[in-house]
Amino acid sequence: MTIYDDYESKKMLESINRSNFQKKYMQNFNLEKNKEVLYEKSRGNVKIEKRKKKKLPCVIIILMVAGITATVSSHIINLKNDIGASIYAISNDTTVDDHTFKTNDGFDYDNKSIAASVLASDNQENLDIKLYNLYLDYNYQVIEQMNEVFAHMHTIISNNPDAFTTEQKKVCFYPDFQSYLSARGFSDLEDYKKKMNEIINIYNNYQNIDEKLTEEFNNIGGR
Amino acid sequence: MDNFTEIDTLTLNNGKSYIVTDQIVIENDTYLFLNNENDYSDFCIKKLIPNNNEELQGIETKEEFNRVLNAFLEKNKDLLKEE
Repeated sequence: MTIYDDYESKKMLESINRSNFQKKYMQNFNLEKNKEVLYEKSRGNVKIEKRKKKKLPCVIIILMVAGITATVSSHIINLKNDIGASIYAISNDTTVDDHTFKTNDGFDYDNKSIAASVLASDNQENLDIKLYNLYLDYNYQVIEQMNEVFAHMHTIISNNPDAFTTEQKKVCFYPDFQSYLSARGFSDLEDYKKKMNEIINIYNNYQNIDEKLTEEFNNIGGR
Repeated sequence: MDNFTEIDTLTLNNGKSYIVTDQIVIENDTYLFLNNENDYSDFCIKKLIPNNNEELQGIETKEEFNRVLNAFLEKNKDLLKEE
């Protein structure tokens, strides 16, 4: 089940990016709702496998503390946007498990390689459009697959931040697909499809502009 | 202008690495607020076990959970108003 399958979550996402008052209200709502999730995660003993010291900007810690009270969507994303550049500078030891996404039918997507290919600068295609095409390409567990791609992209960029553009860093800063969609202002998956198709139409028209101009001139005649 | 601070990160037996974002002492119990290092929106609260560096104790009851969460919110209420 994804966040979009839940009616309350869907309504919540639709409310993102509206007035500050609504944001504040939604934060309180989220806090109440997510207290249950937080409670469940906080139950049960856990083993500590490894301890490590790490240097982080103080502002990140402060913002994470603030973030705990508003666990979902816009608030967290806004915090991340504010501190994104700093995190890339210091989180180069962040890693994502190197594995492919396995399913019951035994068919795997190598999402690590896919993430690298999405970020490859071998063509000029817009990154958002690449991601949308990827979204359309997945046949099953689409959200989970996209989430894994985002995690891998995050790691790739964190390991070599200087090699990527600011735009790439912004997109890949989101921890998962849903955060990306929310931050981009898509209210749900239907909205995502509708708007991306509109954008791609504009993009395609732009790509073919020389051809279209020639066609128009030919229609005018005189050549 | 060195605004960096050294923090602890813990890799738990679920394979995920968590940043120790905050800690609160309530009636001699120390509670840690842990944020997933790769997804800051994923977090949980665990309790230190005295003289045990290999394990963290989970929250046992709703009452305990609410007490810790309220203490956390009270501690950070000024910060939250900044939004």
